[in-house]
Amino acid sequence: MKGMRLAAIVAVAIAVAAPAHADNDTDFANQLHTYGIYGQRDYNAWLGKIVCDRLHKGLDANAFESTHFVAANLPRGTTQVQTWQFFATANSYYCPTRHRSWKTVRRSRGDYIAFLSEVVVMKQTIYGGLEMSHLLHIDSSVQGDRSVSRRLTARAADRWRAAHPGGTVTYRDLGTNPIPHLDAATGLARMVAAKQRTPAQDASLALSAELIDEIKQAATVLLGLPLYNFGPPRHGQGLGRPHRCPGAVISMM
Amino acid sequence: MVFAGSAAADATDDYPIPHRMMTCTAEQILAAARDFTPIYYQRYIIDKHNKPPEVQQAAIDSAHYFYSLSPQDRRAYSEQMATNFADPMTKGWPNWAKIFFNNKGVAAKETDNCANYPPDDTSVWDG
Repeated sequence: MKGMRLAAIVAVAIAVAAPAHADNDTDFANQLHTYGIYGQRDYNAWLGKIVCDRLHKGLDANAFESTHFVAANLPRGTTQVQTWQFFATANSYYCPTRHRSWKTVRRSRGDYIAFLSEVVVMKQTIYGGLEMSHLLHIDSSVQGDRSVSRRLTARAADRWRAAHPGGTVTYRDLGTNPIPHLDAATGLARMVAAKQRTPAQDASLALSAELIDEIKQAATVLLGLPLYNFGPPRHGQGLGRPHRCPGAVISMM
Repeated sequence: MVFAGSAAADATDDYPIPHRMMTCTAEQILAAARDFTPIYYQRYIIDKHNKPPEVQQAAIDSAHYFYSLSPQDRRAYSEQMATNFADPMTKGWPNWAKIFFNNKGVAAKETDNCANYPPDDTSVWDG
């Protein structure tokens, strides 16, 4: 099956504060100030808009090219981290479809790898000094060693480790250890009082809490999601389960 | 006693256009402006797009003509740029050549980098 050989990677990695006020340029400038990036407000705002325009037109093909452009037009002395922060903030505030540069679907496998590497390195660069780096690496293919998506995520994870020597990794393999779907024995766990739950319901809730905690702990989530007959595998869909846990609110880009 | 130097223009002078403008094509200059002085470039392109199509085309043709000249001829022609209102080009768009010579800082960035771009990529005129 041709569809069985198709592999797609979904990388959920970047979370930049969304603009909250009417004056976008002021919010953008304020956000830059938190990174220690100062300068003429109009200049920075226009530069941010040009960043998006260039990505939209394909003048900059990816985040690396874009930050190269940004670096050439910010004052001397601007650090590499600040350059990436400027780029990420400009994407967040001005790009019509947010994070277009790394959400763009690429066709070739080489592009997938480059794309993932960008996301991983960018996330690491932006947040590397701000928090403990932790990668949640999830595979969901059922094809074992034949899996293309596993090879892709393994390469991306290696790149992440190389870029972040002190980082830690949690690995979850949904292909060999799938998350059980809710059934008659566990489905009501979220609707009954704690004292009335059966052991199966308790175990189900505990697993949900564990999954939520894994996602919350991760600075970067790397998700290997193959396409089987043009849809994600059922194992991958099990990842939606934590959202059915009361009180759990997770914002993923 | 020191006397003021001669006012005779040659290819090493910076006025009325920086001597560094004696290299590269118009397209290379614009491509470098796009990447290294992007706001100046965008203002120029917006200004251009606000002109009638025939004026825009005339600006492109004038720039091609200018960069086809020898350094001495460029120097002589630049004396007329944006100053001679009998010239329909100047009348239609006085600032048509601004990005090419009007600002030494911009010209420096353009000429530092222009050699790295293709000489005939006309898409740079569209912004």
